[in-house]
Amino acid sequence: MAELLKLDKVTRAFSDGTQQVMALSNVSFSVSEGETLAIVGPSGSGKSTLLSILGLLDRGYKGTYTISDTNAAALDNQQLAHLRNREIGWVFQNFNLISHLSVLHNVVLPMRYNREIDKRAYHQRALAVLDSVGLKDKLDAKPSQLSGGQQQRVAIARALANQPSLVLADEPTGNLDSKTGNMISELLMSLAQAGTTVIIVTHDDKVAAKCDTQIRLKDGTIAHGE
Amino acid sequence: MVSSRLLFDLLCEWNRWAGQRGKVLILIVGFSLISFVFAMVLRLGDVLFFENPDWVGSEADFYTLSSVYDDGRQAGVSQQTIASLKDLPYVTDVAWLRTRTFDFRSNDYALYQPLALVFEPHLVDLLQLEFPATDKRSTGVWLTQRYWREAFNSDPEVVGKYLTHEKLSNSVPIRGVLPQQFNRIGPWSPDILLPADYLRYVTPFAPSSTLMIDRFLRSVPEYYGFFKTRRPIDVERLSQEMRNNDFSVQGMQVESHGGELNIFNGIMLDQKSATMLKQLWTFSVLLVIALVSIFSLNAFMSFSNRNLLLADEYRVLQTIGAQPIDLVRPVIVASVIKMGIIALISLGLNVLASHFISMNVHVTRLDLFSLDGKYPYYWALSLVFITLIYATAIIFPLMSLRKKTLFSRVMGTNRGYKQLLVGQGSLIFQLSIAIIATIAAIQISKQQLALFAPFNFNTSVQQVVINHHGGRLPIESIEDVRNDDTNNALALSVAPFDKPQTLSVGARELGFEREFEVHYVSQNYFNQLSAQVSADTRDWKSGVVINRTAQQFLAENRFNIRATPLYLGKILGSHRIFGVVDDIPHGGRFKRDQPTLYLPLSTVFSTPQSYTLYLDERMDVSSSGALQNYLDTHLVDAQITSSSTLKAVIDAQEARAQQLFYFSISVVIITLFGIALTLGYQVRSRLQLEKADYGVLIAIGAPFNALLIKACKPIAMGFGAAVIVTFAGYMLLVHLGYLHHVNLASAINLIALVLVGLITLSAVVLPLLKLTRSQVIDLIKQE
Ligand SMILES: Nc1ncnc2c1ncn2[C@@H]1O[C@H](COP(=O)(O)OP(=O)(O)O)[C@@H](O)[C@H]1O
Ligand SMILES: [Mg+2]
Repeated sequence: MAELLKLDKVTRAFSDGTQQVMALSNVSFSVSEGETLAIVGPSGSGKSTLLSILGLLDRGYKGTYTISDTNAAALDNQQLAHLRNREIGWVFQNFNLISHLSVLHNVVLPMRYNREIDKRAYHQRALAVLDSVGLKDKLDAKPSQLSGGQQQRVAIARALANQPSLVLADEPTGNLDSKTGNMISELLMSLAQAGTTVIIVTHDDKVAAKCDTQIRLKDGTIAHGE
Repeated sequence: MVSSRLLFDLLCEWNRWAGQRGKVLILIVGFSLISFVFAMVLRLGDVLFFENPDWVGSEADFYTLSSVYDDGRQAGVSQQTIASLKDLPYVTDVAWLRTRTFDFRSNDYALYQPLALVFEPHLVDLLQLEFPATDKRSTGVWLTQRYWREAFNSDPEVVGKYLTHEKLSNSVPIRGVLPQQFNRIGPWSPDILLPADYLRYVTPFAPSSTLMIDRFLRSVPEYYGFFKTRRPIDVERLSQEMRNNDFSVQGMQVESHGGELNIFNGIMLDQKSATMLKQLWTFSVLLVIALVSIFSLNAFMSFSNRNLLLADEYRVLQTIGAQPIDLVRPVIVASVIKMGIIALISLGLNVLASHFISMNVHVTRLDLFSLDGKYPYYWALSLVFITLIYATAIIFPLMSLRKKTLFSRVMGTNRGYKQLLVGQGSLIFQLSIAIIATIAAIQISKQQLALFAPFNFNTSVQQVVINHHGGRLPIESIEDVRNDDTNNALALSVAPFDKPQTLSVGARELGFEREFEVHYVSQNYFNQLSAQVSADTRDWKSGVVINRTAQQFLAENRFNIRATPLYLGKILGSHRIFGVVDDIPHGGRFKRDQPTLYLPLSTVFSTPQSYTLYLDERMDVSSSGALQNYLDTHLVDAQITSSSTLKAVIDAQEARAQQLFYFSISVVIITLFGIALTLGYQVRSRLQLEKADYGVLIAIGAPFNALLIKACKPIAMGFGAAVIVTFAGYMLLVHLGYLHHVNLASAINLIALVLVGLITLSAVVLPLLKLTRSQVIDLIKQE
């Protein structure tokens, strides 16, 4: 399958005044279209940092990140926003829904920044994705009225709103009980069947085992791949 | 489903302000108020300091030469004095005007002694006066629009008709009707405009004695001079120089009216109203400063507060591909709408203000807030001003989102010494204004309470205002007019019940000086009104009766009312005090404590233009033969212009004061709300910053008192400082002479302090209680 993204000797350092922290050093790997990748490793090993770079939220790295044959460093802010909007869907540990918007509005939100989608299609499309995550009956609820599992499903629906080619999930089950967590990870895995690339940061070995590839991070470097 | 971007932006903004909408409303009302008052400051400032009156066409800078009485009223000077200006090298152009009644008659219309504004023809060029037929300006007469309407029934064919005068052999043609601006010139409402030449015919001298006429006209102190100069002059110095000169005309002795020569900047005919407007202007400037500081601080804090929440939302939006403009756009859209609302409210306030001004006709410039004048420009300017403040309040916190220093500096939440000082400074400033506003609120409300006070005199007495065209009512024979049914005598005063004259009482040597209201009344006045006087007024032939407030005022100034006669200025001289009367609320019960004095009718030195009679309510004015007979015997053409009970007169006054009351109490309340909100923000963010400290204190078992003391300390220090600042400000104003002596420990002040103190305390206690109820672990956890 075609290569979707490729990291070449990516290094990310944070300095807080006096000290320098190497969050990532010389990380290289590539991911193909439709592949599922698990990133595992102890807390503080650089997993979230890596995901931020992959998700085009962090530009402060050294090395090369190529996505869809484009060097990410060559893109300006507007192009980055455009790519984030069309090609990438994010799922976070703490859901990060907009609290003052209803479920429906939260899911429509990414479509609003996508000019290719007709305004009249918002409702229909949002309904379709919400249906696919099994939340068709909670359209008008506010996030605070939902359980954690439901909130995470809204977040996944939002990530899928623009039919991205890449879904990034940062410990998506970390705040959920194991049963709900399983359902969520099943949901994410099923996306790959439809051809979406899924990269998931997880502590759960069972989830990691279901992925095509695993990357284990330790102190910012890849401990051993495959 | 909202799909329109605009509507969705608005929906988001609406949601983001959830729980804060009341605060936004107060902000909007506050800013509307600022916009209204600021526009008024600009417009008033223009009228007071830069603009010539509306009847003057020229925009050049002029000076006015006139004289001034002790109490600020203006009077004229002689032509001789004005002519002397022409000898000054830097004076380029001089002209004058005066007023005088002329006994013009008309074949078609009943006229009676119209008041003429008499002008030197050159005045038209100097001031660029604009009215019809200025080319024929040396003869003929012009009618003011008001007089044309009242006396000529707006006759469209009036131009070209003639007026006659018994001393003129030729009749005088009517040249035209003046534009509306001439309806009011300085303190006068003239009926006609008349060239100076006609003055020659109304002197005490025969037409043939031209020399005497010339001398007479040059020496009577009736003229107001206007002049232009090559360069700006020092009016004080020139006034002083001219006072030392002798401008008397040889061979003509004219009695001085007691005024002192004075030169004013600009066209100045009514210094008293100008002074009043200046006070209003100064007050408005202070109000704008206070409101701007409070509400810009408030806006700044509410936006800063909101941005902290917004920052999280923005991070989420970024991950789904939103760009900065997507975050800013809703704020801009919402702000534009808020500005629209603000503009509408301030316009509404303007409409109310012009309505109020038109009800108070003593204001010389009725067009002050007129929408077809200059006002709209100033209104627009004030909106720009508001927009700038508002935009700053939005943008500054956005910029400080990255660097939080600015935010914490204004909030006083930074540990830095300087930052703490700035935070404490803004706290002291706000509490000071809160104290002043509360004192004002209590004072205004106390006045409102006065409306419930019973009247201490008989309000069912009828007041009848009599106008006449000559003659004088003899007080002695007033007892002749008795009501046949009630056998009740009449009382008499010169001015109507609610329109007293004013007089400056006291002098610098006495250590006090204050404006008193003055009523010239007949001996049985108090009896007729059933008002209590300390002495038997049947013996009242001389001396003044003062009211309780006046008595109190004099006592406060260590004036011995039994031993010392009261000095009432050059003309009235000194009078002993005959007795003290209970305060009669001539201007409505709001204005109860107005120092007032009553003088016997016999002390009136000039012939009154009108009289006011007080009679029993049961007496029918129109059918009383005795009354009509009395009036007709002594007065020429006596007319009853109005008759109403004193109750009705007072009601009208109180209704007007009521409107002012509503306006001022709203201003005060909005200000207090604004301060309470800002205070709340400040306290909460301080608590938020120190919440870990509080968590530790709770964890180690500190009692609530300890927490309270820790939270209150900076606020209590601010409050103490605010009390000192406020009262020091009071004393400074008293020292500078802007305020009369105030009793700092008065009940009102103390109540205000307690109130503000309680509100401040609750602003600390409530968020603190909330804080103590949250999980200690959450407090200690660092983000
Ligand atoms: N914005 C930042 N500033 C400074 N240090 C950071 C920042 N983000 C991450 N780090 C540091 O980089 C390292 C990796 O962090 P992270 O990627 O969040 O780890 P993980 O997600 O694997 O727990 C940690 O040592 C963390 O302290
Ligand atoms: Mg992490």
